[in-house]
Amino acid sequence: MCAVLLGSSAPLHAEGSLDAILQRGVLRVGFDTFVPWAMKDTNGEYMGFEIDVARKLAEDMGVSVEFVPTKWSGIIPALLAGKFDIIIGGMGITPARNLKVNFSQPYEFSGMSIVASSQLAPHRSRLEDFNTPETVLAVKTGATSVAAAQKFMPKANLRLFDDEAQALQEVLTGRAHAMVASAPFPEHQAARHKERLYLPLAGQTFTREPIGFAVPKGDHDFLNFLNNWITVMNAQGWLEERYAYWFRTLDWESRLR
Amino acid sequence: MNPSPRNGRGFWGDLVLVLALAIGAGWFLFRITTQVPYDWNWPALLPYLVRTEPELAPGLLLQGMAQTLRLSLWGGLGAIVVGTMGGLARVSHSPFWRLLSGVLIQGVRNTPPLVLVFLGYFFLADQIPWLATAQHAARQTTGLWRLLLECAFGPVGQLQSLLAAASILGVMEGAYVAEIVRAGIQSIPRGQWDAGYALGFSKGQILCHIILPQALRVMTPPLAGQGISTVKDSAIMAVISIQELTFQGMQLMATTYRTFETWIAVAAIYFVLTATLSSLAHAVERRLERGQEV
Repeated sequence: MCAVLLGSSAPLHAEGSLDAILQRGVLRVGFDTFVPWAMKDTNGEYMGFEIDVARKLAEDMGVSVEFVPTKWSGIIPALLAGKFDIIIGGMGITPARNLKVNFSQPYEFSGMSIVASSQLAPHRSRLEDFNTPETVLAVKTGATSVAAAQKFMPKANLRLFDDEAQALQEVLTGRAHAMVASAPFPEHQAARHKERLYLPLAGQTFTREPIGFAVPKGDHDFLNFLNNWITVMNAQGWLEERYAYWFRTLDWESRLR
Repeated sequence: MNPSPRNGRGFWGDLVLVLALAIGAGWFLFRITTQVPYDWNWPALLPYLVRTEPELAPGLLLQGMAQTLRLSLWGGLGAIVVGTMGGLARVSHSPFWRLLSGVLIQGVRNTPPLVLVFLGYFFLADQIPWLATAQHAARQTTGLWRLLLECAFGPVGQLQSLLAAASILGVMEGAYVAEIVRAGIQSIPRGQWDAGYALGFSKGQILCHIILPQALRVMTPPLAGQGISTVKDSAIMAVISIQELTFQGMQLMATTYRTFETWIAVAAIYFVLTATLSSLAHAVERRLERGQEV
């Protein structure tokens, strides 16, 4: 009797999201484009650290993966509205976010880094140098970089942008003194625009942020699966190996042009 | 009504105006190419328009353009359905229908589109069960059906969000279409109705055979304008991550950091789309005018 009831409602309304994903045969992954976490190469294929993680996760679940690129500022509402099953997008675990979604244990660590304009803000080497009311800092809306900038440089003026490219452009055109973003974005940009940008902290990050998978609240079976998947992948060294490829080398850059 | 080209300023006035505009544009171009610290790199955009490896295929921006066209097409069809029903209800004798369409039209016209998009996508779209059913059914398709489905609606995985976005766009534009339909019907003199009644036609027959054919001619220019607006307004769906032209442009900027080139290319593609629609609409209008003269 129970089986009949379950069977009749199963295709669209399976109980937990783990069951729903297996029934559907598709894992829907939400993320936003952010080099080198997730981006599209010139062939239109997604690539990046998070993309590797999502593909491997789906493969181990025996389902196919479907990527749902989503604006970062609306990514949590989209997850809660059921537009996808999981955020695999370099999302930093914070108490505020955790009140709305469940996080897995961290599968990687990221940190904030700062890149400055060499014309507008030359010869600065400490974060305190940027903690003045005259300093304009460009950051991405809804990212942990906003909290980091407010904590370490509370006196500086923050200007919020929808994505990194616009925030960076603000520094390049000389309307902002510096930009705060997750490493290795500032490092890559300083290397690309040597004459206009420099790294005040010489490539050191000033925070260490745990990154986890985000899933809707109330589904502990899925969370348990994710946590143990991360433990297994760490034990096999797979996560470390992929992290090294995407964050410590630039071998993948040729696929972007 | 045939103003002479020599009317007003005359030749020298026009020349001065054109020169002033050219100098202004030249100065602006000079400023952005030399003064703004930006390395222009147009070739970097090419693989995102058309890719050649492993085979010739549309790049990210052209895929976005196709999705914009699909969104505009379904949104526009939705707008015609919503607008026709809304416009007819607006001129109905029943206070109920007048009130219902009045609420829709005033509601849409007096709220910001962005707010409507968020409300529609995050709250209303989940309440429509057939959207999820359609998504589920689409995933099961194979072969020719899959191909047809992808031609009409783009990637199958995005069907649900595309349909939701098209419905929202249809309602938003439909409110304006309803006013065009109402104005079109009301522009036909009362005598035409009376004549119809005198000949023993029913209300529906008068509407279909006498009023609407004449009203259509009045409605065509504003409807064409609304159609062009639909293409431009579809850009707003980027905020709910529908993978249309604007969204793909923003994704591209996040990958390549080629901000200016990408925005200019996106604007140019929109211009080509809407200019094509404009000239099509113009041709239709002329066709209708000729019909009137005969």
